[in-house]
Amino acid sequence: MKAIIRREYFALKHNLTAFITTWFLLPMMVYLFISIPFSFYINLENGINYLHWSSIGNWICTSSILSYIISINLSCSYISPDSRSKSLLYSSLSNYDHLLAIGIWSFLIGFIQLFFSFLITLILNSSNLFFLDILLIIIYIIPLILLSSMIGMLIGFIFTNSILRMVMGVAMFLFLTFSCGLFIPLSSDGSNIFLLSPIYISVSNIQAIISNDPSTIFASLIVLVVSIALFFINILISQKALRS
Amino acid sequence: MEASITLKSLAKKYNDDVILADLSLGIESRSNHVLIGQNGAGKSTVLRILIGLIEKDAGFAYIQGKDISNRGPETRMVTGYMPQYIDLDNEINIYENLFVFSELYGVENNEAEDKIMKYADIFDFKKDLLKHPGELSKGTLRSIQFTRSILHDPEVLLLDEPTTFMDPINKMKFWDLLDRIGKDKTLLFTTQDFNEAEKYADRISILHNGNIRMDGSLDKLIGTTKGIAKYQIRFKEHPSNDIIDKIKELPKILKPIMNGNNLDFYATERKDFFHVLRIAIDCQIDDIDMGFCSLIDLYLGLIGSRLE
Repeated sequence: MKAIIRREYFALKHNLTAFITTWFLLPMMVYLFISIPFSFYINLENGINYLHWSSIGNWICTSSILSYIISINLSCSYISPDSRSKSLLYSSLSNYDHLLAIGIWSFLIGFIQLFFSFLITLILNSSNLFFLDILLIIIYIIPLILLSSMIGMLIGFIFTNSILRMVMGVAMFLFLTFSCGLFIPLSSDGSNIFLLSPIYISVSNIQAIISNDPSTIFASLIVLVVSIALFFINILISQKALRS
Repeated sequence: MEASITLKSLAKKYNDDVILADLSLGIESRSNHVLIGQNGAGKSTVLRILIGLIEKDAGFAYIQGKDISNRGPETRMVTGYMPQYIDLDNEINIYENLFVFSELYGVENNEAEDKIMKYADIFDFKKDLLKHPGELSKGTLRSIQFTRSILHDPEVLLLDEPTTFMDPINKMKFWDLLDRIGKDKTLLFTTQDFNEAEKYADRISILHNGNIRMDGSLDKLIGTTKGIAKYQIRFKEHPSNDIIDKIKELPKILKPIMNGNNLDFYATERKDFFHVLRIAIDCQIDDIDMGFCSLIDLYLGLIGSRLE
């Protein structure tokens, strides 16, 4: 598994400019094209500045999307017969090792994105956060990045068609942007099924941290359990996807 | 001698196409075994199943006595594989490609570096180590792929048309190296080059329609032709159809075929050849050639193209 991580590290070294550009551009684009336009229309009930509030959306959205993209890209690289990662399957590593490496690497890239997003939004909003708040937010966001990575892996193994994979990427982005309360506060109307989603509850808890409201880690733990379950589902389908 | 690779009733289908059907084969330890056959005969499929790239539909396959289905990581650990196509990672350079592979098999960093340098020297790609695969010729990439397959010093080598794209010098180095390092290894390779098969394999299996049609040493295989000889008469001008028809009517002449101005046929006895010569004597003959059946004749005969 260490060898696969090293392979990705080598590839990152060769594509460092692209990665750094992505890490900088992604949160800036989300800020520019989502947060700023919405800030003209959305006034939050608790009186918090929308741009400050939507920073959390920016952190989660950018780190999850990047983790998802890396994960889908890595899992796809195993599928076609002459693809670059197919050769890794000759080795003595089991499918479990391969999937674990994909999960770890995509999580790491998403996690680095989280730091860049923190840095950029804090600078753009000129806002301050206590170290403990940041630590708590990171702990809450980790399961969401992991979940995105696992979903990316699943999509990569199931959808072999590149157009369908792109459509699923757009779907993921739309879901994160509009259905998890990251940029638009969801109405507390009981008929809104998204309110029941552990992702939404987890996001609400993170938002509660910056508005100094009480928060609980329970929803994040559920997201973590779902991520682990998805990892094992991925292992089950990987035999057919990787070695059929 | 004990078997290093054992295939029992192996079967594989792609959609509705049967690629392998009830294929059984034993490959002796420390032997060089070649699989020959038409494109699509299933040669690569056998290797891909053994290395765990695809799953068999039925049957059993063992490497060093271990079932590849439930002990895949263990069997892959002792196996080196070189596919038919170039599959080097284009996102990283050649040195990194080889280094990652050594690490995958648990080769120590220093040892990996020494081996990479050693083989880069032999195959003359030391200057290309920091280049990406896309910048190199296919011939060089094949040498690098071969290097990659032997870095962990595997006991079993599965090589799929290994010398494709290699220039004659690298081909020679490749077989030389295999001669040296391959003495204690089991080699299973596929090729479309019958000279290589005749020269380097201890045992030859002819694969057709997903099954082994013939299997044995070169001498044994050629022995099955029971002295059939191959004749060729080259005419100055194309002989008349009457003459060709008369030759075709001779009962002991096998598969007479006109190729341009050449008449090719097979016969067991020399007197049958003289019968042909008597018929063709009125035509202007340029040259006459005769030889015993080679592997390619046997192969063509087996797959029904020329000689049955």
